[in-house]
Order: sequence, then structure tokens, then C-alpha cells
Amino acid sequence: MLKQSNGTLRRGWNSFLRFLAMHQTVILIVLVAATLALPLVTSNRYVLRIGTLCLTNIMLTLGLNLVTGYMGQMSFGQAAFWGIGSYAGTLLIMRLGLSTIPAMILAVVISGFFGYLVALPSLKLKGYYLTIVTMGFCEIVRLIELNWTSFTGGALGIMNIPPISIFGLELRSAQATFFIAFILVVLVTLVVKNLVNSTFGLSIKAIRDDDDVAETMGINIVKVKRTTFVISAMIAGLAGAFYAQYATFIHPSIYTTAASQELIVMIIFGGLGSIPGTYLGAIALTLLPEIMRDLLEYRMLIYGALMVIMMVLKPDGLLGSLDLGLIRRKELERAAKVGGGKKGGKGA
Amino acid sequence: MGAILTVKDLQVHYGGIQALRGISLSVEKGEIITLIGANGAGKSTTMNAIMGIVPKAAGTVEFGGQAITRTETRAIVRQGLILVPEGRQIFPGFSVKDNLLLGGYFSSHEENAAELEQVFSLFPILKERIHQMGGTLSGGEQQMLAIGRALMAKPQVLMLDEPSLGLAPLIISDIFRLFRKIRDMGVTILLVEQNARMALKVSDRGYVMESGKIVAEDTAAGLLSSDAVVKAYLS
Repeated sequence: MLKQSNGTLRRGWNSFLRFLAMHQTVILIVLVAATLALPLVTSNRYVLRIGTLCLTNIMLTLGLNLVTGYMGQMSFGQAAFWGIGSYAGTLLIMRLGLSTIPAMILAVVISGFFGYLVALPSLKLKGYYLTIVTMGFCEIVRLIELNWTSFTGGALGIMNIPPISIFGLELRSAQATFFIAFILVVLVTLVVKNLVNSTFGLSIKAIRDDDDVAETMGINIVKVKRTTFVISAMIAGLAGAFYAQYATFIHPSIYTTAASQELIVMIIFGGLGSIPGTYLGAIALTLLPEIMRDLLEYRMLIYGALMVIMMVLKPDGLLGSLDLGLIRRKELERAAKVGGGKKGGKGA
Repeated sequence: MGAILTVKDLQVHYGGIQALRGISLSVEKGEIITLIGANGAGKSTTMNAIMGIVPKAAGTVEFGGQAITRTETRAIVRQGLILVPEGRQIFPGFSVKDNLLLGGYFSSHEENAAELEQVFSLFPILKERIHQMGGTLSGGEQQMLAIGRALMAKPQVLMLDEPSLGLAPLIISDIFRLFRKIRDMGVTILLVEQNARMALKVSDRGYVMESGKIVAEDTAAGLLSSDAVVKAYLS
């Protein structure tokens, strides 16, 4: 009985994947159009807020997936870099009077710098060291945010952050910030996609699969690991700088190890080493708590159960280690064979 | 010509155990050399030590006239000394093409394209399987992929650790025949083999190892006709 339903489930899932693979472009266009249409059809602040949060989480998880999904190094530090980006961007704007774009760029650089500091000792070692170090780092950053009151505002955080302004134009409306978030997501996606499809991306994945062999291919694995980690931190910094100006209020209890965990849950659910999977995970697990408001207290419980189920059924996540291009090619080959067979039949 | 790879008095310890007790060997440019010996004689260790994967306790390694005794593995690879490790160790989750491109990690796009063609002319089956995942290939194909991946790095010297491991006899002889072709492309080959007869047949010279030492050195024909060697390794 169980086996039967499992088989049906699998067949259904496989045909769903084939559908995805065969209609990639159309699906992409529809999704982009739907996303862009959202702020046009609604000005509901709540809906747009959830949408913007989804987009922010997509940025964060894309960065995290580079390190955890593609490179196979578990990092609990993504929320720390998110926080560093937020505080750096905010302080640059409020103390130095920078405008959004230069503040964002500097926040990205600063996050990258802290990423480098973390990567410097911890990525020389193999195994679980990075996990432990990033956990500690996340906590250190939170404590600094909490206790350096004169600089970070302490537990109260920083309020009344000016909204995003580009070339003197203040973008206060929920629609405008949604658009900005969308543009940033596109930017980050392009960076990540090009990176993982490059030769450098090959070396990232080679390190995940077997770092000893990667070394005998002549890859400088320490350098590749550090570079990838820094890029991931920079992406988190970008998301942070955006988020601060979007939310206009930041405080240390946003950027906790628990927040890092949630980001990890998103990519494990959606798909390790998969960009569509990252989208899926980030969106699903941003919407889920909103849909199930009544169950909010039990969220971590549900996440825990979800993790266990995923580890048993699909350890790479729903869309993890999935080559849609390969599925497409196979499908086309099969179609060609069937077509050829029919023609042959007619000829005979 | 002159020696392209010279190893002098190489010693390696694994904890308290001395795995290599002073190995000396030299490989001339354009040769095919085989290192034969029983299990645990130190053949693989010799290769791993030359590549800098295993730390050397003593001795020197010279490659192309330069000392590489303390050089890091990846730098040695860049200089053109490549190891195809035991058990192939291709990336099962990578397509055949990506596996090969990884071998040409340092080369430009154009160089890789040319090199790919050369690899495909040696191993046409890889071209057929170009988009297939490495893990779905048969053992023989995986070995070809491992050799092809090494060739992508344009080696001067190619070291192969047990290329016949776990392969059907027919495929082994196919692969061994290719070694001559690869040599004719200007690649010097150093082989480690338990399948000594097959290896010596394609080789110019050979070394016989026994518990961390070289006990005999001769031309391949000489070793094949030596009573002691035949008795110990070829019967």
C-alpha cells in the first residue's frame, strides 16, 4: 500500500520535473511576469511586505547555497553577514550621510572583508571547523550589536533609517521597494548562475565531491573555498543593506544563529546546489509561517520534522543536484526516438 | 634526452612504519616505465610521495631539472606532472565533459577545446558519453575518463596508479595499447601495476619493488625473461 502510493508519488514527481525541464523558458517568463505584476495589481502593504521578504530571503539563501550547497561547507554565519551588511549600510547612511547606492556598495565590501576574516583561519581546515567557527562568529556579531550601544544602538537597535533613495529620488512606497528587491535578486541570481557555471564553479563543486582529488587536479582548494565564502558573505551584505533601508528599523535579535538556521532549512528543503531550488525553499518557507500564523509558536517544531522527512526522502532537497538540462536532453532524445520509430513504421 | 624525473633516496614513514626505505629511480623523456611489486611494496606510496600528497621523510625529487621535493601538489600539477590515482576517482556527479574540463583547469578555453578533441580521438567512447554523468560509466570508461582528464592538463609525465584495477582483461589490453599512443604524443609514462606481465609488455624499462625498496631494475624484456621476477610476479 505504502509502496504503491510511493510509486505514484515518484511518477508524479518525475513527470512534474520533466514538465519543468521541457518548459524552462516559458515558466521563467511567467514567473518573472507574475512577480513584476504583483506590485501593479496590489498596493496591499502586507502582501508586498511578504513578497519583499521572500526576495530578501532568496538573496540570502542564494549566497548561502554557494557555500553550503555547491561547495558542501555548512555555514551558520549567513545571518551574521546579513547583520553586518545591515548595520554597515545603516551607519554609513545615518552617520556619514551617504546615499543608498554607495552605502550598499560599501556594505557589500565590509561584509566581504568580515567574510575574509572568518575564512582566513577556518577554511584552511577540512570538515566541521567552518560550522563551529561560523556559529561562534554569528553569536559574537550579535553580542557586539547588542552591547556596543553607542555605535549600534544596543538592544533597541536603530530606528528611523531613511528609506532607499536613488539619485535623490526617495522610494518610500512598498511597490518601489519591491521592485528594487526584484532587481537585486536578478543581479544576485546572474552572479551566482555565472559563477557556478564557470570553470571556477566546477572547482567549487569538485571540492564538495572530493577535495583530495580536486587538489590533484591542481586546484588551490583553500583559495577557492575562501573566495567562495567571501562572495557568499558579500551577497548577504547586499541583502542586509537593502533590508535595513526597507525595514527602516533593525535590531540585534533579527540576525541570530536561529536566523542562519532558518536559511539553512530553506536551502535544504528547496535544493542544495540548485538555483530554482533556492527560490522554492526561500519562498515556501517565508510564506509558510504567514499562512500558518496560528501555528507560529510551533514553527521550529515543524521545521525540525520537515528536516527529518527531507533527510530520509530527499537529502539534497526537492530540486537539489538536479540537472534540468540533462532531463530535457533525455526527453528530447526519447521524443526523437519515438518519432523516428513512427516514421520507420510508416515506411514499412 | 636526459632524465625528466629523478627520485633519489626517497623515504616515507606512516606513523612508526617505514613504507619507503630509500627509493631511487629515474625516468627518461619518452619512456614508459613500470613499477611492479606485490601488495604493500610501496608502489602507490612512491607515486603519492612524488606528487607531494604524502609527506617525504627524506630524499629528493627532481622534475624537468627542477627540485620539487617540497613543492605543493597543485604546483607540481601545473608543472606538468600528473597522477591518475588508484581507483580512478573521477567525479561521479559531473558530466564526462565537466570531468575533462576540470582536468584542464588551468588552460584557456581554446586550449581546452583542442585538448578535448585529442582526448576524444584517443577515447571515442567518451565523446558519445559526453553529457552522461561520470558515475554512470562502466569501469573501463571511467578509467578512460580518468586518463583523459589527466591528459587535459597537458602532462609531460603521466603517472598511473593501477590502471587495470577491477577491469575486464579485454579492456585492460585495450587501455594498455593506448599507452604507447599516448607516449607517441610526447607524454612520458610511469606505471604502477600488479598486472605485471601486461604492463611490462608495453614498457621500455621496469623497476621491481619489495617492502619499500627497489630490488631489481632492467629493461622490460629483461625483467620478463628473468627467472626470479617471473617466479615472484609473473607466474
